[in-house]
Amino acid sequence: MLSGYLVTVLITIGIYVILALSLNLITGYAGQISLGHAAFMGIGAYTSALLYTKAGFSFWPAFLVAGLVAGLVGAVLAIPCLRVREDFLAITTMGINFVVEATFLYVPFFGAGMGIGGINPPSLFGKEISKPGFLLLVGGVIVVVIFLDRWLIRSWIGLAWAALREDEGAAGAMGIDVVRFKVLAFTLGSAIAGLAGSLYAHFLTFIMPVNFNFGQSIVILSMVVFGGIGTLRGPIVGAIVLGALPEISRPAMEYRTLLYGLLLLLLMRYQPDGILGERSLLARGWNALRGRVTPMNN
Amino acid sequence: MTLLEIEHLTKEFDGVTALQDVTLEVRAGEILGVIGPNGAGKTTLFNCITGMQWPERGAIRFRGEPIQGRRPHEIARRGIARTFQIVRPFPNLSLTDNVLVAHGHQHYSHLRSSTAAYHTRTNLELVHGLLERVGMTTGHDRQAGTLPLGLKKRLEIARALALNPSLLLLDEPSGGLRHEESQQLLELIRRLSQEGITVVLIEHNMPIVMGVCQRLVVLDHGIQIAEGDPAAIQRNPEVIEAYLGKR
Repeated sequence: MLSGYLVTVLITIGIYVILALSLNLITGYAGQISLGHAAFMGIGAYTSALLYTKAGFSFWPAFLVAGLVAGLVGAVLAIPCLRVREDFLAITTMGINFVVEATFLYVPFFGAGMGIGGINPPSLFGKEISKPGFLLLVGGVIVVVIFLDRWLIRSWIGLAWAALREDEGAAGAMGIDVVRFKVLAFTLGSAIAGLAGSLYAHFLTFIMPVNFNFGQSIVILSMVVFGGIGTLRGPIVGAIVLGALPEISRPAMEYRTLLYGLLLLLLMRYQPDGILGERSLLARGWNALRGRVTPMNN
Repeated sequence: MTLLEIEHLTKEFDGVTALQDVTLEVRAGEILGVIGPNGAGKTTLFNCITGMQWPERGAIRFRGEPIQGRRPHEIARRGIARTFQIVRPFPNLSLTDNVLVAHGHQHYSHLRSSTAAYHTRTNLELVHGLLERVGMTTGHDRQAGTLPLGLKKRLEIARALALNPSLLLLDEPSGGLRHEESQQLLELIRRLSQEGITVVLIEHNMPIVMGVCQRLVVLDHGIQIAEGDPAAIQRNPEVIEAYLGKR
């Protein structure tokens, strides 16, 4: 059997996989940089925690409502993001993260600096599920998100996002409603982050504003960029590697922010497509081995 | 029959007038040339028609319905397609996907049909047909960014055709092309016109303009200074002055 410690680590990594996949919808596929993704994870976590501790909801409906609320807030907050691009969008989303974190921190209803405790793990048929059971739940959510991801990317929605990412102006001239597809990306990505936040709350049983700060957003973005932005495998591998790193090495835990920041810098300079992106060294090597040629450009 | 009417169109940028009180019409089936020196407002005219820039004053009517103030995708879906002076293909998408993006215009507005898979056999056949129509018979899986300029321009035309347009706006399609490429382009424009597409052409290459356009509009500093058939325009003293300066 898996040891309790290992299961805990795997659940944490699994939640990060969901978060990285959800950010990849917004930043990878639709090309809208977000430095505030942890805010939506937080909105999901707080929704779920409040519904559970104050409104008497059980986990399952609270989990679904958490995704719904995070998605709706994502749709509303996408509106100020519509008029800005690239670096301005990065700063806007960063601002959103600070505002959301400050709301959790200063409004007593959200528990302020004390956070919210007493959030129990989910129950099934009247019995609280075990840690391995929780891991299965996280795994199940990952599978559903991967299926959704594949389905979207093969649909006209995925193609519209790709066009948006490549050239917003030209995309509009080709009949793509730029606003609609940006809002759709922010809504879906935020909703899935909200689901991950709910899982996170019921796993930790105690949440604080600091869990959803700007640093957390950077951790999620690092995972996406490290693995390979805009691919399915990239965010998964990125979340596994960077999620496991602090557990394998203690210094990596203590200097996590420094390490991830440095990693981002080095990747941007030497491997902008991440370690597994289409034009990365690894992917090119793999394709060369299989006798396929990937065109070099840019 | 008038396909597109532009009345008293004025567009300003921070106090600089890019278009001033421009009034013109595009007749169904014609090839209309828009010429004028650099900075005359030709591209701004295209941007206003396609909703990429909004004019301060004036009216634009397409098939009799006002379209000014509408957003680019709405105008594209009504059947006005364009290419860009500085080419803008989607560089990291394949040629096929570049054209598919435009072919999808009929699916983007409905949630149900926008969730359908797009790499279907019918769609691919249609797109390959369009690419062949502009003379691109092979290499449809290449990334658009890797193409030489001449092929990028053809790709933009194929992409515009995928919108199934009744009006095609071509912004300097021959710019940067070699002579024989320009000649092929001329043929392509003629063929599209014969297939029933109305064409408005911004062009600096005078042999192309004279060879293909039935009517010309001349802009200078945002003002329409002349309009008429190519031969008359060539003799028009105001046009000669705008291009060559006062004697």
